[in-house]
Amino acid sequence: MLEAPVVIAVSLFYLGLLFAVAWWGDKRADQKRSLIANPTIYALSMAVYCTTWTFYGSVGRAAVSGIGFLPVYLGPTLVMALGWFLLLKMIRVVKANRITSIADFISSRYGKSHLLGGLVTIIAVLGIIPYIALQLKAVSSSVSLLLSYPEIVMPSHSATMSVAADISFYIALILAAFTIVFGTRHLDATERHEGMVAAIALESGVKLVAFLAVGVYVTYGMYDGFGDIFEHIDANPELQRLATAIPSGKGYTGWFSLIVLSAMAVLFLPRQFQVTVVENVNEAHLKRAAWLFPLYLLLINIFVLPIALGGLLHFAGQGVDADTFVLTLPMSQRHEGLTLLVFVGGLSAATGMVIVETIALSTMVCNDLVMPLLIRHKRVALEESGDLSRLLLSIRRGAIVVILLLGYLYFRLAGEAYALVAIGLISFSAVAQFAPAMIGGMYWRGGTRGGALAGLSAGFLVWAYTLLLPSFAKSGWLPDDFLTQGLLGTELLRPQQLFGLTGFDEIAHCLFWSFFRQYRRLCWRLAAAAANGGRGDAGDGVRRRAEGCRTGGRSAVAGTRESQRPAGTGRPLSRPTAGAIAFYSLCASPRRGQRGDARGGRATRAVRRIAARRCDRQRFGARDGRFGGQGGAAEHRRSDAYSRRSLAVADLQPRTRAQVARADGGHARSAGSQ
Amino acid sequence: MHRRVLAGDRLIAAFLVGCVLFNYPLLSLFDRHTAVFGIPLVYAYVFFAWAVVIAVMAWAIERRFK
Repeated sequence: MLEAPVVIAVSLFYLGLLFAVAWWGDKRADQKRSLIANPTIYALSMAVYCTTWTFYGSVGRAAVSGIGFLPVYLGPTLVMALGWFLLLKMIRVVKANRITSIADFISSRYGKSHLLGGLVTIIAVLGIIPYIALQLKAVSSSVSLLLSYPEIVMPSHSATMSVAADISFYIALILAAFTIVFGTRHLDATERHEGMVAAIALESGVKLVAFLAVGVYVTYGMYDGFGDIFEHIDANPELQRLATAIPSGKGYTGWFSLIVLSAMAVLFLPRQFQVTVVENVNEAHLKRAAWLFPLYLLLINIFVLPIALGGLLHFAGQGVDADTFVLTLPMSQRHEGLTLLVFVGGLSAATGMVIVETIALSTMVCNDLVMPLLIRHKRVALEESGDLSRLLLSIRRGAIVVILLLGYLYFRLAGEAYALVAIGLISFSAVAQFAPAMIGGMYWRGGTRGGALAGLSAGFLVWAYTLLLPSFAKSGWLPDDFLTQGLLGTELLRPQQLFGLTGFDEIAHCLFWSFFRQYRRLCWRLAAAAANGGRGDAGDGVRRRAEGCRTGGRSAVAGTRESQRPAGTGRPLSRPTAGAIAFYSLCASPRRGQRGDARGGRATRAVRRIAARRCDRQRFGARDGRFGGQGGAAEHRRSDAYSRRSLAVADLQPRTRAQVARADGGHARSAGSQ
Repeated sequence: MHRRVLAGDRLIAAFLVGCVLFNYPLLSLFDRHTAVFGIPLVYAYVFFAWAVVIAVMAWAIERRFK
């Protein structure tokens, strides 16, 4: 039953089904009857986090390091508990400023810097390429395994084949074509793709069902439940180690750094940003998704260890790669239906990731890298050509093809040397570099464009040196001496023991050094700026906040440009008022302010009220400037109301009409008195 | 109002409890050769703690919007 034509027909039928769902979703969106306006679909679309890494790779990881496959799912669970605050704020910023990608987000947080946007795009593209290679590797090995059915033959190494004979090359091309049809049929100013989200949600369902099916089959069909499998391995001390110890990387540091890394990845991977933030229909959906998504992660992981151990027992000494156990176990039992289901599940996991990731990346490449360059250098030509949408679409299509081909190239060059999960972790570390700039941009008013640029580029260089280059060295494309002796024979520069640091696994090592660099750069920048302004002493933070309010601008460190200041916020405050504002902004959140009001005396309350009113006006006006807005009255008011809301993070309930009217009236009054 | 503030605080609490449960000192207590219902202790513990954190989140969120 599992001959090549059947496999190909099933794959194409499945892709066609996805396309039909996407088409239907788009149609419903046009009719304003959105298919995806519900929290369960939203949570399922977030599950695009689970790729073939989860589907095939987790088992491979578990076969080597036991429970070490798990921290990658604990991190997102923790983040979703904070998602309430972090994701909600991101969603509101994105909606208020019509942000379309992560590069857009970071650059707009630092004064719409094209340079920063371009840098983020380059890091994202280079960082994600190994991840795409991972999907290609998983799908191509599952296809070639299936084609050799009923024998179980490990796929031969691609590097030895010519490109034309390599099945993964064609898979890359098919995926590129499919993504282009999926994501670049028409242009949408908000970069939302409702149909795509509907298809992704369906895929998440399929991969969960497929994985649970094979899990139940292995645990209860081939063995007699969990207890039975674990009893079997009791006899084998080698396997027993897997079931008991925490052997992820080098013990607990490895475990902890994976939790941190995955927590950042679930926020900052371009595809997660796309489905969680950009495609969000209604911020209230975040509520239920905040626990449904972790629940999905829990479910898809329950059977990982049983499958891994079952596979190790079943295939002992047969040289079957653990990354393929999910497929090879049902194959070995001649269970054709289940084998096909697993194959479709793996295909789902891969296509979902590739579609969303490359669409998000191509949007970034187009909006934040190519277009700014074109506009800068070929202004005249663009104005003459009139119809921009065709140009934009072809840039995106080109970007999709190039990204997938780069993924294929990486797979050829370095893919063979690593297990699936190890490849994915390289990408996770790359996107983790966005964390300081993103979170700093959201919560820290002292961050500057220069600091963000320096931090990002330093972090990226360290990542490339400690993870990317070694991956080429390990597969023989760079001399081996590079790893063992360091650059130019300098031992201190060995990429995986930089400056002699040992005792970490490679991921923890990269994470430590790149973050160390980033923070040092940021701090150094700040110190330099403060020294220039002659305010390098203690209490600097307080005065800087006051200064930020005084000048109505992006803090003294950043330096305020006159043009960026919104209308009507330029009047400097007197020093005592600024002091009061500094005091107020230190105990800033309105919630706490309210509590304080209730407790404080009448004088305190009066001071706070004045300070609050002034500071709100100045500070939130300033935020417009920060985003490069023109600061028109309407926009100003909107952003004011939005900021007020975003500070009250707990206030998710839609406000009553009376409350809104009161807030707006209050604003109008204060604006009128200006 | 009170209930809404409470829910936010509960989620933060869930986060902090999760951080403690999933990491070094506590985790190492369960890192030994015993089994609960035939399942290795550390495996059972991590999944149980994980389920508890999710349950607390679900409880805090769903309760708040009744």
